Amino acid sequence: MALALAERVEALSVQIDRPDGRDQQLLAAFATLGQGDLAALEQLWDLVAEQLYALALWRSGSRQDAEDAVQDVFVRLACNPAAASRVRWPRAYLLAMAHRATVDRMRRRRTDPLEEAFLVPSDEGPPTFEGRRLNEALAALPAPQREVVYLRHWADLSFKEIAAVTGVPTFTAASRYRLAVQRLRSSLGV
Amino acid sequence: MNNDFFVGFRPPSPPPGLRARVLTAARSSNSRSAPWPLLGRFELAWLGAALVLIAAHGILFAVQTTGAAAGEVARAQVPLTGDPPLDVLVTAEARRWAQECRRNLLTEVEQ
Repeated sequence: MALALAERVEALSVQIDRPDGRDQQLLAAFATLGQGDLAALEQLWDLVAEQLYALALWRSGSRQDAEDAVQDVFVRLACNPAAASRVRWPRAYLLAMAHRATVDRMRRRRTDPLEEAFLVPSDEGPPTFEGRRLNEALAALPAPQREVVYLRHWADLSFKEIAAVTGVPTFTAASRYRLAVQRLRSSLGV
Repeated sequence: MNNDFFVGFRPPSPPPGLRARVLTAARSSNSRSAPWPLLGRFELAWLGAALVLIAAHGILFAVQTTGAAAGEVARAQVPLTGDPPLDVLVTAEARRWAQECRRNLLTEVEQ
């Protein structure tokens, strides 16, 4: 399964040329990890832990599940470090691993707590909406739609990339996003 | 997506203690990693099904072999008349009669 995931994301990376600085750092960290040096895990954490945690939180709606899913990702990386050397687009690979780990955790727990804040105030500027309203609107979304919103808006992925990460057709990813935006607009009254 | 939705907000960061917990778990899992954690659910299911098939084949083969051997032993040990010297004579007569029948049958076929 892990191999199939790697192949899917590798196939995607062939089509996409995104010379992003952080992606280059990730590639370097993956190359180090592929040689069996577990010190690369710390570098990987600094580069992607926030995204993986946020994706897992937006998908699961549970802080505990998100923490466990991120741990699952790093444990899997450490169990098979040689696989890292074959990955060509590490960010999509890691996001796909986080998605899968989160879905597995949710299946095991079979509850949907939705008690967490999906967004917290930042110092970028005055918020457009009240935080509580925004979090309630996000909590009202189905988990797959909320996940697509995160990947599109915060991880800056295209629908094609989102489709590869979440394992759905591109059309489904775009459709989920459109429905999520409609629901958010309706909930927030805009 | 209208970016104004999320202005002034950001997704929450991982809790402070998570980094140490995750990295410790990852390192310890690497030191005791076995081949089977690398297999997914489907691979494990296929592996399990293959093992069950192999085990079933082995059991059936063992039962057939044991049954055939037991049958031969049982046939060899069943007394015909209760008198061993007479059993030998009866067996020899039966063989002779069977050979004669076969010979007669071949003769009829040739004619």
